[in-house]
Amino acid sequence: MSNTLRIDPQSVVLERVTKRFGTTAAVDDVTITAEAGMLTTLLGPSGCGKTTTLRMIGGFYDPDEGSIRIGPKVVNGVPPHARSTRTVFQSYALFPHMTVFENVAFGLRATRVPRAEIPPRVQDALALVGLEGFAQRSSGQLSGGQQQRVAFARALVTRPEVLLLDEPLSNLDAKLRVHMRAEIRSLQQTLGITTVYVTHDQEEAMSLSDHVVVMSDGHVEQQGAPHDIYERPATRFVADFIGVSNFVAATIRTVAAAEVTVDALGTQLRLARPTTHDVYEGEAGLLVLRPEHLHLEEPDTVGGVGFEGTVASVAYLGAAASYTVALHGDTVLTVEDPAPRGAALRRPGDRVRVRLQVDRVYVVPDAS
Amino acid sequence: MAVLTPRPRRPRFLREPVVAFVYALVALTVALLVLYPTFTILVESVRGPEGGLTLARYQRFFTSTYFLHTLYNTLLVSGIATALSLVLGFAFAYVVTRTDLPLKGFFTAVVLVPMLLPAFLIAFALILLLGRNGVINRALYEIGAWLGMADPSALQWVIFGSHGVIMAQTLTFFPMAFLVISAALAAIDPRMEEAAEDLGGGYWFTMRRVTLPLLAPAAFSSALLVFMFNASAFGAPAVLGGGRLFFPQASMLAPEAIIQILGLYDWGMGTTIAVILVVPSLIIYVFGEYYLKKRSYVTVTGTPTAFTLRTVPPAVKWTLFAICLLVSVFIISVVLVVVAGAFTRTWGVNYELTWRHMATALTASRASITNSLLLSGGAAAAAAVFGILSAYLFTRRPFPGVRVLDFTAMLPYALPGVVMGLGFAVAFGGRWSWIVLTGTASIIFLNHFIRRMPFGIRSGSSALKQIDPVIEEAAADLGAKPVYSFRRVTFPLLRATVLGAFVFGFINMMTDITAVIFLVSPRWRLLSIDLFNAIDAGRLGVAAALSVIMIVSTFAVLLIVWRLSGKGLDLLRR
Repeated sequence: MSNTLRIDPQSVVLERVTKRFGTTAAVDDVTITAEAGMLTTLLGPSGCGKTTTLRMIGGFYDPDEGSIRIGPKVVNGVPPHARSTRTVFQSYALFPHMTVFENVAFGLRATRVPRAEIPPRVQDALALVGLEGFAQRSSGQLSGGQQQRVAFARALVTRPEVLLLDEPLSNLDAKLRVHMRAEIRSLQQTLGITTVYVTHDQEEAMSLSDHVVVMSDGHVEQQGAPHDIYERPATRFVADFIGVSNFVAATIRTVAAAEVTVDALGTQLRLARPTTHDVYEGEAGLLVLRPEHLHLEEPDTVGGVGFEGTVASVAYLGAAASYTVALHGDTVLTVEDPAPRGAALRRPGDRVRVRLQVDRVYVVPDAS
Repeated sequence: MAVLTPRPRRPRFLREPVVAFVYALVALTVALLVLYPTFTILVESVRGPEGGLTLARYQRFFTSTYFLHTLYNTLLVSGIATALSLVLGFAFAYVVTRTDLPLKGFFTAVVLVPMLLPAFLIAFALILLLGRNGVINRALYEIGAWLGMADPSALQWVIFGSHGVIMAQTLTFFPMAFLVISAALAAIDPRMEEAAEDLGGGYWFTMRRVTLPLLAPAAFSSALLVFMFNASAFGAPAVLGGGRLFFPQASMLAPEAIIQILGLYDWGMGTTIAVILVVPSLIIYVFGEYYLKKRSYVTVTGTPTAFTLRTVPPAVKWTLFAICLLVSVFIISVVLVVVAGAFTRTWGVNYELTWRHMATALTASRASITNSLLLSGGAAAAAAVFGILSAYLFTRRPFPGVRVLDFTAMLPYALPGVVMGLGFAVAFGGRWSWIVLTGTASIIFLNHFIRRMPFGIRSGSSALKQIDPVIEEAAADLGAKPVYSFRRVTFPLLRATVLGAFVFGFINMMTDITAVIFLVSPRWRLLSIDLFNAIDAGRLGVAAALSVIMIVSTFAVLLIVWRLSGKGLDLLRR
């Protein structure tokens, strides 16, 4: 790693932060910790408050309540130019009247870095993002991917303590997006920079993050490692927003230290006790059944926990096939068949048995 | 960790001392140069001869036949000239945005020429063409004589009178209608008209039911604007009106105000007429700003492009083409006839080539020429920079009440020149012995400055709308303080706008007479006033020479800025 880019990562802590626009709270009593050197994703649908949260960290909004700390310092009221955060904007916001070099040098000049230091640091930053030789291009002559690299170089050259990324991949085409995703992750890990990343794309969040914060309606639904969020969703919203889920109504019968028994689909199941929330006997819940944890079998197969039904539709996707199966009653389950063979595909109307991988079934509260 | 209790926060603009300082400066400027002069006019118009307040002058205005005829003349002339301006503006705009006719680029350029000329220059050129000794009327006389008519002058069509004023004002003001209407036409999605035709609408049906209704708000607001300028015009009525208007005993409002003050020294009546001019102007301005803008169907954003409507009937196309060609030829001949007049011994009598007028003009008006260039240039630069700085504050660092400040700062745009000039003469002229500036260069400079600041504000705020605020956020995010960010990011992006506002302001000041006629002094004369006096005194050769000097110097500045910005004439079409 080039020595002009040594970075001293700091944690970002939001404590009970609220931001209102008029009477509506865009961010409502949110507490988030982004650990130093880690990549934390704020994930949620549009309007969930994730960008507002990011802008409060960057200093573009002041919280109405609560505190924001970067490292040991409370930064409430500190204007953006006095913060050690740097943002890569969704539209990149390159200065159209400047060359690539001038764009990258801007932050150094604005903060009065000694003149002699500027060219080597800019060159290092451009090398880091693979844009050596582009210094004298005007920003209008760059492709979308190149513009984004300039935006990264421009942010990183000033050695920020925290890097803020506002949907940085949303303006790129699908192939480039996957490629840049990997690059961002490797850049972040080699620099060891604290990064807060805003996205509405759950796949992006899962593949990039150390820590995912799922937001909805201005509050935090759940935060944790990507696999925690996926395998142990705290709410129906999280289970629904991330990946595909089948929800089946259940009633909790007994609660033990590590186990619960529930009534669902006309039978009794023993499941692992949820770790994300409390459960009580007699309470209504929802079973989260991921399609990849359901398996199709011949209708008369014995063993395990399974339910008979009829294939309602088939979608062949190449790498997988997706079935919907109607059980008795009005329950319809989506089942994924990995590595399907065209000749062996089942057809609508076929009788099948859907087997549950009981150890992968999770219970969330039934909010309704 | 204790939760931080929110401390009461001051508005953002107060936390930045530079911003607060510039705001204070803007507020002070507006109070001193807009509100105070307007206020003094109001007070003068109701001040009784022995102190106290009186409405007697207003009563006199609305009961005297003479003053009422002045009002009727103004309304009639302005109404007709406005209607004609709309027709011409639409013809040019439609040809340019909807047809594939030749010479579109030529028409677009020619339309802008009247905007670069003083309002009364066209009136003056009309005298050279159609006055009693005008080229055309002389020729007609010769034809009559050759035909052996008893009175060959019966063939002549002399320009003095309402028709002349209407013609001059139409030619002067239709470019404004053109600019608004062509922007609106270009912004109407062509697919709307195509959809109408696709659904079976014929050309006229589509025009009547789709194009014109979509255009209506823009056309209406340009009509109001043009009417406002017509109603407060001074040049053409003064040059061509004299005793031959619809009501021949009376003049029109703006010249009458000037006669009352400069001829009769009746400040009370002069200010009363000014107030009477202010009221409709303000109503029209407020209506246009706050009502029409919300109703407009077209939002002018990005780069509007012309397209060709394939189904325009040839008869329509070529009729419009003929109108545009005729008007363009006429505009060009206006410039040519003035140039010719400058180098002709005695217009209409002796067409010998001479440098005499030019020499006279250059010696007698040397000081005026320098004054005009320096004062207009300086004030235009100040107005452009200060106006755009204000626009930046208003849009990017707003505070509660910013709309009031914006409205007040924009007022000089709505207030007729006569009013702003008279306001300055009253406010800073010793009648209100507080600040006395009469006879100085600063009274002219400040008047120019405050009247052109609205152009800076207007073009600045529309340019700022095109600049994504995230660009400025990026600057702040990278550690740039507000002043640094404005200096290095926002202002450079507004460079073309600043230059445009400068040029526009400069040309307006060089050619203005209605305001400065109250403010010039023997020590500080101006080119435009010298020119007007020469026309008034019938010294047509010298007047033409002065016109040429004015045209050449404005075009020179225009060319320089064109080179600087690389944008050319486009910068006038904000």
